Amino acid sequence: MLLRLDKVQRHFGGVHAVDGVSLEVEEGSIQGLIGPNGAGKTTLVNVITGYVPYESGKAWLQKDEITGLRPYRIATAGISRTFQNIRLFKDLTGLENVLVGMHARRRDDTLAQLATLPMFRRDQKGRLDEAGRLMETVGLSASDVGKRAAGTLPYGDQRRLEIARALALRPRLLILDEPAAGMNPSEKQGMRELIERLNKDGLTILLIDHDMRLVMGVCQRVAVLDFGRKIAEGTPDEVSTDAGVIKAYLGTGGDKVVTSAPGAAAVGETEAGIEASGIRAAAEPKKAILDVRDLTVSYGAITAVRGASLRVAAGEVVALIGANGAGKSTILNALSGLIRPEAGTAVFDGLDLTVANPSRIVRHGLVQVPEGREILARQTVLENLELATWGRRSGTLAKEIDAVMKRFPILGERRALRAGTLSGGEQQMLAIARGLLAKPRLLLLDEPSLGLAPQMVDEVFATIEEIHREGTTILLVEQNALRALEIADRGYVLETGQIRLSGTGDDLLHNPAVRRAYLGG
Amino acid sequence: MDFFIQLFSDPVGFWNSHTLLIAQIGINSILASSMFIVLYSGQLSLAAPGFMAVGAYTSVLMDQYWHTPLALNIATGVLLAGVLGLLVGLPVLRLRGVFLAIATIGFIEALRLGVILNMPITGEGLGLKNLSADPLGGIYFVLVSLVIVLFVVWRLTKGRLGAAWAAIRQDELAALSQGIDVARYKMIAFVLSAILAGFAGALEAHLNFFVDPGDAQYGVARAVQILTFAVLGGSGYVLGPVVGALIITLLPWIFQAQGIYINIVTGAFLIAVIIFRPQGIVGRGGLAIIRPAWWPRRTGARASSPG
Amino acid sequence: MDQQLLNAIFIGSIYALFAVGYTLVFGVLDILNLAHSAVFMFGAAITYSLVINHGQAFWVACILGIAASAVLGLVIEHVCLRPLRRRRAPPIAALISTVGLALIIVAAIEQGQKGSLFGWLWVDGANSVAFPAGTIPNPTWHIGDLTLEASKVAVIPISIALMLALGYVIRYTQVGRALRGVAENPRAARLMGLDVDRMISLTVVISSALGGVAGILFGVALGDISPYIGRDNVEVRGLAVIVLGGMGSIPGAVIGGYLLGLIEVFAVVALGSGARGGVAFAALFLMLVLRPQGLFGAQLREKI
Repeated sequence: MLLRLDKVQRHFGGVHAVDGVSLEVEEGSIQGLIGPNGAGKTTLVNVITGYVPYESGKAWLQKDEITGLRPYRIATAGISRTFQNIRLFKDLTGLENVLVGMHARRRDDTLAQLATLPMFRRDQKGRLDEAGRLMETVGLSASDVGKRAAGTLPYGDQRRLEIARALALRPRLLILDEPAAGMNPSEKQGMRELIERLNKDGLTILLIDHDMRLVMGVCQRVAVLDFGRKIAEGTPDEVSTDAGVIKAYLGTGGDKVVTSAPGAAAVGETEAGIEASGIRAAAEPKKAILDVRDLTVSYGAITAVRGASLRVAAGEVVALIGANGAGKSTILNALSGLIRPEAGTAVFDGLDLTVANPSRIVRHGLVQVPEGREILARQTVLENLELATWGRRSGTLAKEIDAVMKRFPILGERRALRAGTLSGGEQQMLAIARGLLAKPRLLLLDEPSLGLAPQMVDEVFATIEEIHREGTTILLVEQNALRALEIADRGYVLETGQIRLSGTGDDLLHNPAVRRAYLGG
Repeated sequence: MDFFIQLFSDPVGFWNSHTLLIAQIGINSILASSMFIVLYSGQLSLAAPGFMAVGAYTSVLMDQYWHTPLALNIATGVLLAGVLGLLVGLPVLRLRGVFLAIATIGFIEALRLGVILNMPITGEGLGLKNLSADPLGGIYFVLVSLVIVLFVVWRLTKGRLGAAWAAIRQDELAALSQGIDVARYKMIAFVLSAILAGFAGALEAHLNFFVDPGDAQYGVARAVQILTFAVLGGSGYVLGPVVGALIITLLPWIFQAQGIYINIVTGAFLIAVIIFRPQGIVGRGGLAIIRPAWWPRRTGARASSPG
Repeated sequence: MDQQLLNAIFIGSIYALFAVGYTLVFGVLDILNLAHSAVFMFGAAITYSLVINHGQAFWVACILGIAASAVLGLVIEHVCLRPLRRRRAPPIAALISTVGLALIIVAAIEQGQKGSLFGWLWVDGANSVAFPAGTIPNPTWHIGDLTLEASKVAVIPISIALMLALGYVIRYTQVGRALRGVAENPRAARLMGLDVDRMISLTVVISSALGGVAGILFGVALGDISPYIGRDNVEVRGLAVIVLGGMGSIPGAVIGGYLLGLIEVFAVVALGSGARGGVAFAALFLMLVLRPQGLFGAQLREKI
């Protein structure tokens, strides 16, 4: 028994982020911790590693109690971690990042430095050698990556570097928080192999991720969290066939029988299979109101989207599916003018989206309902809606708002309440309503079902279909490929920034590769 | 222009006629190093003038009342500055970015307006006369001290302290996860910075016949000036703020007009540098203290991220 | 004692009005506009100059002075703030650029001499001047123990009216909603079609106009106009006020302003006039150490 958690609790203002979780991690094992978005996985890790205080409960690392220790003491006690959002020291080089991990073990050399004694130089060389070895262990080149500023490295290398840095602590337990998020299938495979290798050398690993396939493939035991509570625990097989787990991930909607949770595989691995299944080439519409060609978008040194092309015709519902971090939101942000592409064109009904002012784009009729809803929590529901009609001189505004409230009765009920008090699903309705008030001709929906309870997901998709029937063109980005493809006319599959596949909704839904990758078979 | 001509054609003469200027450059460089340490560890502290005042007044008062040797006076001033640094640094540890800056401004003004101007022993608003000042002889001490200070600071950044500071500056939370006791290292930087500032203050007092508690000496104006050294010169390398100090101190002399249009030039420099070359003149990766990751944000919508 | 209370409310009104502009910019942009105290001074100086050197009627000069402050706000936005936003610079950069502009503004006024480069703005250099008696009607009343100077007393309702007006605009108008939207979530605001840049300009202009008014009120009521009135009276005190009240909170700035006025006056009463200087900053320091978000500010929490 290396790590033992006993009824760990943590609330955030009324929400049970971690609700009485108990867990035991065997020494030398790889323990998985999975759960849908918002299940409390990262919060649990933050509590264990001392960044967030315990409400109640305890934790032990072997015989030592580690409850409530501050983060740097947790580290020196032997628990090392990576972060969900990568927290490398961006301006330091790869090697320097890894060296930081050795800090606790490094002798204090202040006096030696002042006297410029050779002793510290020898130590430094020893440390550099070790850092170089650690980098090699995670598959990075010490002489190349090691010398570059961490912030300039490609995404996959950054993830690996963070692991190397964590290893530099010589931990007894390594906690990996979503180490493969945003990776393409072959990168994920590489991460899998790395994790297995580290474990074979004797390192105990706690792996957090919501990618089922990765976790199932590499962990010996898995625990599942949902809404802060542990709902299942056991071997990967036991857990992946557990009814409660499947429900938590997929909800009850859709008419497909799912035998395992999504993310079980990826399209890229089986491109041959795609050709073999004889998909009809996507009948791309000749007349498109949205025409995107060879779009390339970068954030600094990281190319998030590469050469993506897609078209949307008036009245269609087009789905854009792909894994976390595949670049879907990036495309939408580029279309809305929030980020400028490096290359490529995007034209919406005559308007060049790559240079137009964001407010102009909205006025032209391209409206985005962003990921995470992004409503104005501190203003009331009504104020949020009123703001959506900003700048429009129209006598019918009051009527339009009333109409919207009729369509979403819950908003009418809660019109005077602060938007932040609404539930996730209600906020999503508000965000969509707000989008509709801007009179969109093309509505971009970014992950509308993200983090919603299954019934709300049903409602959201019903609403989307309704809007579509009324004639609004929709470009829908979704992780929930199943639901998205069900209602879509056509779809595109995005993986690591590139469009890999396109076809009609039905074709993609029945495509075996897509099924295995995104629909759980 | 004559200024530079003399510098290169008649160095000795230059030295003799500009002793005070050179000494001031030296003192400002020590102040710049004080600023360097806090910025290098990611703390935007503007507290230096307060510690300067402590060093200056202690040293001069000890001379005036006890006639103790200069070295002891300065050492005591430095020690007291360090102690005060400890007392001030502890409560402000958890403040980041602009909040720390404001707190330190509060400290220096509270010290200046609240304490110094109200304690009869400090001569209150009239300041102190320093009869033992040695403007011409003191310069050697200043320059030698500067070299030692720069050497020490440089070596510190190369060692374990510097490595911890660099990590903390980048990302405190990540540094914690690597076993670095962030609070301790921040305190060390803060106290060291206070010591250096106290030292500079005591030296400056030694070079002047008068200790003046004005805004330009120990108030916000001085703090802004020292910050300008670091912004202009860059705070990624030890020599950065020193270069900034050199340029800013020389400016009035080059323009032959003391303080007149200087502020306009300084202001313009600040704006231009922060927009077009935020890493400063001697800079690499940007004014490394400013890392969006740990700027205190109201929770929610503001954080922007790709993907 | 009551006289002191009146003084406290009077000076508190000025602090509050000044701080409201400060906190408005912080609320919407997440930055400290350290040129705000220079705008305060500028409003007063320009108004004085218009009356004395350019022969304008007082009320006309006031309006022009406020307008000039507003324009200065636009300058701040276009020179110090927008270029940094374009380059995605972190908020501390704006701190530095506004400090730079403040230096320039103060120096420009300081250098204002007859015939000099800035003579058209100001001719009294570093001196402190006052409006000549009689520029505006300024009767003095005596009620009981109190001495009421009309100009000082008038400051109170004027400030309160302005602050209430601002509060109304922010809370109940479409523009105010838009500003709050930008303050809370600029991304969502953009996606809703709001022109965020224009909103920001508007914010800075309003803030600077209010700062200018505060300066004019100060200059008129206290008979002290010089290049240094911003630095000496509100530069750091303004920070104390918004820290006390909570950065980004307008009601906080108002309450903080009066609170500081009261603290100062009572400190003088209790500890003697020397205490006035240090008390604001001691309060500032203590508040930051004990409760950094101030009385009404949002909790500061870093997301991990």
